[in-house]
Amino acid sequence: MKNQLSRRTVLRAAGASIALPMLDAMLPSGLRADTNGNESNGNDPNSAAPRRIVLLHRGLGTYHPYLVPKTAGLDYESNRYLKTLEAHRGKFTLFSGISHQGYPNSHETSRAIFTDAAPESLQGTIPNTVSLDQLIAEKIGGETRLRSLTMGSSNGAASLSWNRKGVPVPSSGGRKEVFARLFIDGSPEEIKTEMNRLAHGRSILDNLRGQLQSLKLDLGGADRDRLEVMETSIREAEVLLHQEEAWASKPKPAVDADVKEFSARDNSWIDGDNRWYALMRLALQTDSTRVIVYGISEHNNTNVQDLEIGHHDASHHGKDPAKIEQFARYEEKDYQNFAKFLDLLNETKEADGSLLDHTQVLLTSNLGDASAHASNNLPTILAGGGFKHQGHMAFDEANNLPLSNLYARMLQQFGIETDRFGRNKGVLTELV
Amino acid sequence: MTKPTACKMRFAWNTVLAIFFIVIPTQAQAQVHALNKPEAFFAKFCLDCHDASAKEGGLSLVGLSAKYSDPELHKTWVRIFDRIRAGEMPPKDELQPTAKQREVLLAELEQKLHEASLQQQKDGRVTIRRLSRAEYENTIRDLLDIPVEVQSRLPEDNLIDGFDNISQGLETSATHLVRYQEAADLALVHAMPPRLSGLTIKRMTGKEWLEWRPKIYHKGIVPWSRIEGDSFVFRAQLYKHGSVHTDRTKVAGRYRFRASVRAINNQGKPIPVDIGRISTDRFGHAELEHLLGIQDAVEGESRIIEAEAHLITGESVYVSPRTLTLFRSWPKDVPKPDDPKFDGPELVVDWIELEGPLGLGDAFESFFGGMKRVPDRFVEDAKAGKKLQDWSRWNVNEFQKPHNRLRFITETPKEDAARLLGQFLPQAMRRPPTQDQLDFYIGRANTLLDSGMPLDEVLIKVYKEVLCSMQFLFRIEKPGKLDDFALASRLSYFLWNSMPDDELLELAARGELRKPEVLRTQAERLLKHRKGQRFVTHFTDHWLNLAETLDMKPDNLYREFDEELAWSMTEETRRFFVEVLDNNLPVTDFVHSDWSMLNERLGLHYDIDGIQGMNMRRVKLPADAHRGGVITQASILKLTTNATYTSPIKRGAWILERILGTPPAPPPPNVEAIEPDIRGAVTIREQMALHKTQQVCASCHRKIDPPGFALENYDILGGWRERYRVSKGGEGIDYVPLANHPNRKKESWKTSPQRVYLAKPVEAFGETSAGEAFADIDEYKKILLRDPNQIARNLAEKLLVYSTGSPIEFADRRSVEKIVKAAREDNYGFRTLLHAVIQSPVFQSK
Repeated sequence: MKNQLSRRTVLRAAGASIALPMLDAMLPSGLRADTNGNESNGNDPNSAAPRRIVLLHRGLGTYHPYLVPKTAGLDYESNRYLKTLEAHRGKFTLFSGISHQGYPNSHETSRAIFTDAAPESLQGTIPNTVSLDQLIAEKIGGETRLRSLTMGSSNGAASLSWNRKGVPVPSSGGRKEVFARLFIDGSPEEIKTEMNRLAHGRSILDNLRGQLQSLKLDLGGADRDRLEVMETSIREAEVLLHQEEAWASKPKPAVDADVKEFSARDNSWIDGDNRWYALMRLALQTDSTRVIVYGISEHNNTNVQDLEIGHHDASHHGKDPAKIEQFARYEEKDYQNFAKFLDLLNETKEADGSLLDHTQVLLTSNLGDASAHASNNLPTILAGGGFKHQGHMAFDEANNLPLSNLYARMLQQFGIETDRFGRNKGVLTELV
Repeated sequence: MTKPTACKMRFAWNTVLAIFFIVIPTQAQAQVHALNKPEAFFAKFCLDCHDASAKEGGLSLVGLSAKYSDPELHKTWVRIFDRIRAGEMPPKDELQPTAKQREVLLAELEQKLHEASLQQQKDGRVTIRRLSRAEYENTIRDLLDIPVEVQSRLPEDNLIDGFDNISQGLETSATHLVRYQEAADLALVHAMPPRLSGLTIKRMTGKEWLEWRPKIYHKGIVPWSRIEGDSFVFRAQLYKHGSVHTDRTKVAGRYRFRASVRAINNQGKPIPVDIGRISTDRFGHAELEHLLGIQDAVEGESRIIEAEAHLITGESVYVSPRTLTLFRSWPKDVPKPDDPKFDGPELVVDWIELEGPLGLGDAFESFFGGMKRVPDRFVEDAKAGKKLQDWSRWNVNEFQKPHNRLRFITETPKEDAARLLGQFLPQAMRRPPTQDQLDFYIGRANTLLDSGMPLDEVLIKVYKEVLCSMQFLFRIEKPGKLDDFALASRLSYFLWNSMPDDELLELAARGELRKPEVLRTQAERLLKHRKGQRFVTHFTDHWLNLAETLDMKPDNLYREFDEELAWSMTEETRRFFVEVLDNNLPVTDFVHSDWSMLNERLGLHYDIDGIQGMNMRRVKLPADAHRGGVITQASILKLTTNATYTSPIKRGAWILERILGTPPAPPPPNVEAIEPDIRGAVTIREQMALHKTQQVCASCHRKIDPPGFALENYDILGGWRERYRVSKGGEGIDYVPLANHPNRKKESWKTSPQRVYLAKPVEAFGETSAGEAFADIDEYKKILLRDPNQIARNLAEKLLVYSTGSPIEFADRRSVEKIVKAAREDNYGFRTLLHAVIQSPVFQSK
């Protein structure tokens, strides 16, 4: 019971009061049974808890001197930002000298931050490639109510998540909407309407397939190729609708949290991000999804004490010490929020450990030094996920390690047997 | 490595299958070769650098196959062709061919590449493609005549060559297919509104408005205003919720707002009036988003200002005097409006009026043929001809209840369904349905009706199926010349970003649309129609990237940035575009003109005197204004910068891509970033000196940097500068007031925050890649204007890409040249060029 108490306390501090606990017994029936011993879905055969992944993106890079410690390993001396994460020493790894390869210096790299598509994709001549979260979501399929959640606070939602066809995955919606989809049961009438809608949806896809067949007779080679691709989309859409149908009639997990706490207007972005984190914790804990992408917005609304200029403005500090200080305050608060999120996950006990043990949490940015619009030396932290964390892993700051080497390692940790992701040049096996 | 002189092989220039090997001829052999043979040309002028060992620029001509139709090789050959044609190859310091030799080579190569490209296009330049998000939304809106917002529910489209409607960028994923169904549901709910309210016009005098407001609000309004006759007179600016506004809309739709306004006691100057929307959600609209327009009230006589907009249910429209003092910031030393000594400016509002929803009744009429509806529980009574309780004033929510859902009154539902589908299908499919298609949907309706489903639900279901069909979602064209209906769609998606209307479809059905004069008349009609505005907005958003103008919030160093400037700068560019288009002005005006579309705020920003009021109008520019053309407009200069500093690279690349149509190659990987120093010690330009010395940078940057340098005289907001602005003073750094700050008070310059430090002087001189020196932007523009054909060519290409949904290919070039020629013969008129695009075979073929 001690845990419960502390969790409540933390949640209150985060602006949401949520009663607990939601343990295995409260999960949708039938889900647990599927997870045993099935490696392809990313589950650890030795653990009753499923594996999860959270990808967090924050724009505007970092001020490196406040983040990167002088020494590598676990015994680093915490500087300004890492002090906020002191309680989690040993539960995360900070990477320095890591980035996507070959990118010109521009913030447009956010499109590729989780995909590692070739830089030409920024020129818009070739499509983006699949992002880490969607690759994993494919494996999980219909095991959870939602394959993945793609979320962002206001301007943070800029396409981070991409499907195999190079199409950006649209946002799952606002907090209120997401909460309702995950935790608020519809009336029997609404459920019936929804089931009818989904069944009709499948018959519409059948129609579409028929139309494709007759069109193929009329059209030339290039068009036919295009239509072939469409056929796979139709098949995938059918699977999506089937899965939605299967879940539509299942009762949603009960959580003792009020939607109002998530739909209320935020007093500040700090408040807002904490509510998002609380919602993510609920989604993971109830196994409503195992894959989350969250874009942390630029914080240009400065109504927080001690922040005088906007975040974006501060990031272009041009070496002006006053601006650097403002920038650092923004970052400090971001890392404090992140630390609170790790607290939440860490304090949520399940199966043979904590939610954090079963969740890989990655925090990175599209920029290194935003003042120079540099896209190398991306500030990157990986926490939880059952890794043996190593504090600070330092790579060459002049000649960066591909970030996708880490992504490939993360896929492996998810139980996916591969040594490829994006344009990686190996797997970051130093992290065990 | 030695050069492969020993390897002597026969040339195989003309045989597609053979491999083209260059043989380095000995001195004697070279003389034997006639130099009008391409292989000889390459051997003599190119092979020193582009052989297998030197491979200058990554290109070896040795062993380069002459299989022009191979997609990759084709690109390589086109690049070779272009560089030789541009005179960039062979380089100036190498042995040069004569003009004749060059011409002969280019002619032969052009023919080969043209044929190969034509071969690649045999199935058409563009593949079947879905509607873009914007096209989808406009089409749904026009088809159902409803203002539904569906874009945000669909995945974003990828941009190709800057445009969002290009075939390769329009993949269709499972997410699309699922979301299209959701969007169709949403749209159809709107299309069958629970209550039909016909067109209403509601006018209130200013006095009536005040009386209509609950008394409780009066204390925030009355002391800051007065009543004169039937008019309401503003003496201060109020919060928009307390400003004069219309009643809230009962249904969503397109509305026309009008107001009669007049300025008083403003020293003969106009008072700009904001027309904006008040959302049901107080925070629903960002500052600029709520603004429908800014128009001037003048002294002496009342004039009518107006705006048209899509409003959702529960929104209202307000007017607000922009330049009057906001009531809550009233200065202590000025008599307040309720003080008898008050003698400040005033805005009179005689009346306001909201008319709408425009056209909504027509839509229901055309879709449902004016069929009568009654609540479900009255259906039997209605059929029996009994007198019904009056339900016309029920709360809208009542109709959501199953027993009150509105049902059609009909004895012949199957005939009705068949008739309505017969009308709907040709519009939704943008061509007449085949008999099979018609039978299919009517069959669906009959099956559902037989299962006992009421007609209104059946129609929604079947219409949804149509809205999720290939024929609605995709633009389907058959190889070769477009048929009449495909041509109608191509024209309407070009100029309206949406489906063709009845007139276009009728002309297509009669086979007349393809007649050049009919097509021309229709293009004119579409441009002049209110939907023609979509072409202006959408094309400038993508061609010039105007959509991104306001994305970046400027640094606090640029405190003169305010809402008026933000609004005016985008407006200037769009109005400029319209002015050029409507008056068939030369396309070179986009580079330079002696006029622009300005208002007072831009006048202040550009330091041009004598413009009063916020209305945009054509202004003749002073000779030393350093303005004219789009490239020196604030909107463009702002979108090509970062928050604190200008980037000559971004600006240079923008000119090459958007104006000259010669985009630079992407930068090489892992180039060290330039870190700006806003302390003023080093300029960007000094940091960019490296481009000159490093060979890998120089080849591209000698093209990119010059236009960027020429624009260095413009700061991040497009204001003119002679020295860089920095945040802190230092040695030799001056401290000056902001000249173009709209609220500047001369007496308080020293204490107000509206002052900045100026550091190093700007250097805007440079040298083009062809070696021509220029001192500043004015001289640089003159160099650009020397080749009007290239400006016309670029615009012709951009219009073709945008209208056909496919990048320009080699085989399109001859058509492009014809378009350029047509424009040239009419003083490079933009409208002439646009018509020439529409008349071109590229536009009219798949």
